[in-house]
Amino acid sequence: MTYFLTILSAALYVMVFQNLIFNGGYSLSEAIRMSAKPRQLFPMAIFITVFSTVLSTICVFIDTIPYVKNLNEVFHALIYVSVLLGLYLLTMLIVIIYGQVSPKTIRRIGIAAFNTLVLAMPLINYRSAFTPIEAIGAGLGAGLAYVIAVLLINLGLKRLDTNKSIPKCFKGTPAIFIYTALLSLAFTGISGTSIFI
Amino acid sequence: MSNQSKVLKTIRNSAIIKNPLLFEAIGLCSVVALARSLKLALFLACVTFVQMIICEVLSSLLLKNVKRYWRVALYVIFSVMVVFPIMYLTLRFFPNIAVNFGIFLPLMAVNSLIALHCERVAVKSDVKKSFIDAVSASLSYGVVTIILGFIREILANGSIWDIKLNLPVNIPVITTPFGGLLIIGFLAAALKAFVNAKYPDASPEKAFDLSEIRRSHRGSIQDLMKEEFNPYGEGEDDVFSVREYKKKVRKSKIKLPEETNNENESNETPLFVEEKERTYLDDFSEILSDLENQNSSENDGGDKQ
Repeated sequence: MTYFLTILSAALYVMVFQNLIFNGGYSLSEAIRMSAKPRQLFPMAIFITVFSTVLSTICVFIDTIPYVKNLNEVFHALIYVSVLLGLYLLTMLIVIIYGQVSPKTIRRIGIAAFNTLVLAMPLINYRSAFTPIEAIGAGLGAGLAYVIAVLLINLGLKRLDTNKSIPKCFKGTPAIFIYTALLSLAFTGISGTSIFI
Repeated sequence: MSNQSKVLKTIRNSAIIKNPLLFEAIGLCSVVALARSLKLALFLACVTFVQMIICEVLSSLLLKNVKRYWRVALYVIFSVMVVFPIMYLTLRFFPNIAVNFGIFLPLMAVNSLIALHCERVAVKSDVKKSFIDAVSASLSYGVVTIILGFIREILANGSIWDIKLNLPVNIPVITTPFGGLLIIGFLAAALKAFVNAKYPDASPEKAFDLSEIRRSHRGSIQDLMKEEFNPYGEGEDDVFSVREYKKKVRKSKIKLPEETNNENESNETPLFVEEKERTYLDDFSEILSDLENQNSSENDGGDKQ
């Protein structure tokens, strides 16, 4: 029960109170672009959740090795990138052996593995000194944060698309950016960050 | 089309009409989080410039025969080769900047801007074209980053390059992603108004496809996995290396753009044009040439007899 609550609180923290996408800016490009392709939401979310959770957990365990602990941040980051590369190659190997090498799957795995949200997880864990259980929760929360971001942006895109009073030069990406900025402001409010002081 | 005008067209497409940041919404993470002041923005623009040129040139030189799933990993390795020495030197000689960059400097190793331009241009073009694309895309990215950093520093800190302007009001929230996105939105609108006025034929909307926004995200995972997935419009050469794909295309009688001698060749031109775009005139001329060949071979045979 304690483990479950720890996972839940870590997941809620990166999903709502410090939403990694709206408050941190991680994977904003992927979230905005994927919100225009809602059919891709769940396949991408599954891959991102798997990569962020596995990478987060492996890196927390690597950080407990005394030799690694003494390294500076540059080498920690280098180790995390190497683990991510290894994880990606292992996934590709499994996909190839399983015989599912379709262009779509390869694209999805590439975009899901190498994005800032996934690589940010071990770096955040390292700075926040998360335990392995908290790291699992944060990894899962990152995937769910991505789902929340894509759904919220997609909702706005549909309304912006039908709104005829938007000036011509604001149609498309300018309006999307401003709408996403307002969502980001809402999450900044939830996180308790002061706005004018 | 002369070489000079081709170069100018490449620059215009990469830097203005398909501006990576403002119209394609690519590479937002580092800009929104880091371009909080002029100094940081300039540093970020310089790192991206160096990273982009090295990665695109290396990709153009080395990765044309490599399959896509290896290429994607190799882009990250190239980026690591550039970003981590810079990170190490920054930590050693400019610790203040390193502290401000936080975890975002290592995250630049997975910058989507680099992977996209390597995939879209570098592995399909010669070194010269890749270099021009890298310079124009990273310069346009850098200019937007610097303008953003300049505006955010004035509004949030009331200073320029750490020199206080003694403004009556500061708005610290502008340094959060909210402020970054808001200003980027207005910059995108300004650039769009400029493009609409200067290049009425160009449509920057094409850089961000909104045709599928009304589709439902619900469905069985198996069905969803079968859906087409090409969010960045990178071409169709996923599983194969570019050369393997071109061979395959030639065998299946699909026209390549260089074979069509299209004068309007640009970044918007799809890399591979499928046979279905052939008109009845093409088929008719092919039948005519076949008949002519048959006639000439019969005549040759008759002459010999």
